[in-house]
Amino acid sequence: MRRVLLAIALTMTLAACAKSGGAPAQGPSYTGVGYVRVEDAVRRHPLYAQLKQYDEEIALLQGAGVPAPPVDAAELARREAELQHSLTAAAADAKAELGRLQQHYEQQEHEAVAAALKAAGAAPGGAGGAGVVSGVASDFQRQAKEVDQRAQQSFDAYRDQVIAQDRAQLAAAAKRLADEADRKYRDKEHGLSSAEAQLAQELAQESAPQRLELRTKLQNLALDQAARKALEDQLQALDQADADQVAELRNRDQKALGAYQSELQGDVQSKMQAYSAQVHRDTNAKLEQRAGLERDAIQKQVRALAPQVSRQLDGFELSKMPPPLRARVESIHRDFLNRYQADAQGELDRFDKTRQQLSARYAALHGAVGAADAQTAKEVARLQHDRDQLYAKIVDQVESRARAIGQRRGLKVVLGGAIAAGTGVDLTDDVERDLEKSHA
Amino acid sequence: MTPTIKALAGALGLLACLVAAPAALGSDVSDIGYVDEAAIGRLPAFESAQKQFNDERQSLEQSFEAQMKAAKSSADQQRVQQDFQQRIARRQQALFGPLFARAQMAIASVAANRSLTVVVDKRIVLFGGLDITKDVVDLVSGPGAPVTPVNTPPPSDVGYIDQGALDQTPRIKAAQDRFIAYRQDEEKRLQAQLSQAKNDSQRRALLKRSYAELDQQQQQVLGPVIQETQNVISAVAKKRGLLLVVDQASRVYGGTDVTADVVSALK
Repeated sequence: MRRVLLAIALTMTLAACAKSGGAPAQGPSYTGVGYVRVEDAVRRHPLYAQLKQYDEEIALLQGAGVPAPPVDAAELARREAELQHSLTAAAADAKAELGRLQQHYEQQEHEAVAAALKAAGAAPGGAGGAGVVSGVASDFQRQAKEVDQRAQQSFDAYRDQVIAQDRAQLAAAAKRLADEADRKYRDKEHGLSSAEAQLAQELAQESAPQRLELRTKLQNLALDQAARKALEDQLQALDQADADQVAELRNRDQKALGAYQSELQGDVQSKMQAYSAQVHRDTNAKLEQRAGLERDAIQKQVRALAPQVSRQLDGFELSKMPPPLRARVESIHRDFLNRYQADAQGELDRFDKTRQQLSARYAALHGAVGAADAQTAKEVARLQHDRDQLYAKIVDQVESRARAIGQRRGLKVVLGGAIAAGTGVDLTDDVERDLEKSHA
Repeated sequence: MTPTIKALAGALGLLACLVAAPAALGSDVSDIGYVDEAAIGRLPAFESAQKQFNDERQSLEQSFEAQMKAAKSSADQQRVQQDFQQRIARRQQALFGPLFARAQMAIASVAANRSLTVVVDKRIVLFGGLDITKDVVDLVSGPGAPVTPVNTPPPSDVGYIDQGALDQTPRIKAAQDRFIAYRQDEEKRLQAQLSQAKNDSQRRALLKRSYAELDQQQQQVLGPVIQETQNVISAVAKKRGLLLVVDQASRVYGGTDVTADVVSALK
């Protein structure tokens, strides 16, 4: 009787063990493992709209591959026109001032020469009178103005050329850097992919004898079912082991590629910023140098006009005047001409300075295009950083809610990388509801 | 109390203990392990290999650039490029192949010793599971080769899928191609419109409209295919009694590959 009771008890025990213990049964009743579809939960997170907003802003700045200038073309043209207007106004002011100076010195010279002729007993307005001097001063002013205009045109043409070259240089640099990064990425991708293929090939070669042996054994028709299954399992295990190694390598490669791409993007941005700043500095240096050369050229040409005065005076037969009178008139003329030249040169210098300032602003306006490309890249990087932080925050909230819910529900394991539902406990809806409540 | 009753009471007590035990044991036991792959990547052997690879790559790149400049035809350039890529791949395989194989062997060995059916990347584990990082690191860093597990991992309740393979299925590929063609056309339209834009606000408005249309088109063309794919994966997972399906990139070892089943169901 005792034996019977013990047997019953043991049978019941084993039956109970078989029912509730041992390996976890598969199917909906097994609730040890939960998961959350993180990406789905992120899409329904109350802050997801902000995340989309970041994406949109970044996409707008990046312009779908279209380089976005810092200011639109119309605005650029408006600012250029403003500068041109300022330059024209400065030129008109300089011209008016030169005219005023001319009149002023002509009048004074006229009075001085008239006084000298009167003192010498000659009639004012004769061949050696103020008209001669006035004509010389007028010629000087015209010629000086022509010199200045030629210099201005030459400088403007040079400036436009330099700026156009710089913009092309920046665009080429941006393309070159992007192409280089792209090539490096493709090389790496190709390299990794080749390494994966090579690994797969080597593994296949290594296990080839074993596979052959297993396949040979499987061809034995006398094998019983259990032995055949054991051999098939071994063959499958070989395949699985090889596939695992290749998959391991591929997983690492994918991560390495992601990190490498970020590294390349950062590198392109920083190189472009540095290059753009360098080009901008070079542009300004070139323009300053050219302005200096132009200024020197103007001064030389204006100075070269002075000897012509004597020749022109000779043309008016001052030599026929009595020597003292001639000397007197020449002295008066030279004195006023020198004074006019000095004042006129001062006015030209002032205009030149204004022109340089306006040119610098013009160059800055165009140079800003290159600088702004870097600025745009910087802004994109800042937005991307903020976006990444927000995304990390959202994911963190999703995961911490999933942890809390999973623990509350007594789960053993909760995973966050699910891409599709199975028979495990899907916590996604609960997490979403929880997050909605907390942000309500 | 007669000996018979005593024996019966004892047996029933034993029964109660045994019935309760699996649940208690079960709460501490999991067949899901995880490993911090980044920690393995930081091991001196890996870092040293990475440094050596970087140095060698730099040297190869310099030689490559010089050869590209010297190349006289596009065929020469192509040959130089292929040669460069092959050399890089060979060096990478030579430097990292044995390390990855050793790490994989160590993971397999630890997983087998701990009766794990699947090992995933640490990043997807929110809680629970068995962290085998230290054991794996010790084995990888230790002397001698890790012991090869006798058996392959037992069937796992966690499935995984190669999403790259899914992208090659005719229906998904067709939908992707359709969307890519639309996007290319839209980009051309956008470029033409942007060249006519007079100011920044017009430009922004055009870009915004274009993105909204692309987004809508993406949802219309790809949305149903994505949804259908997810449904198919879920159906396959349920049919095979899997708890969930993760991306292949998150799975380190073991698990149940459902790629073939899903690809077949999608065809």
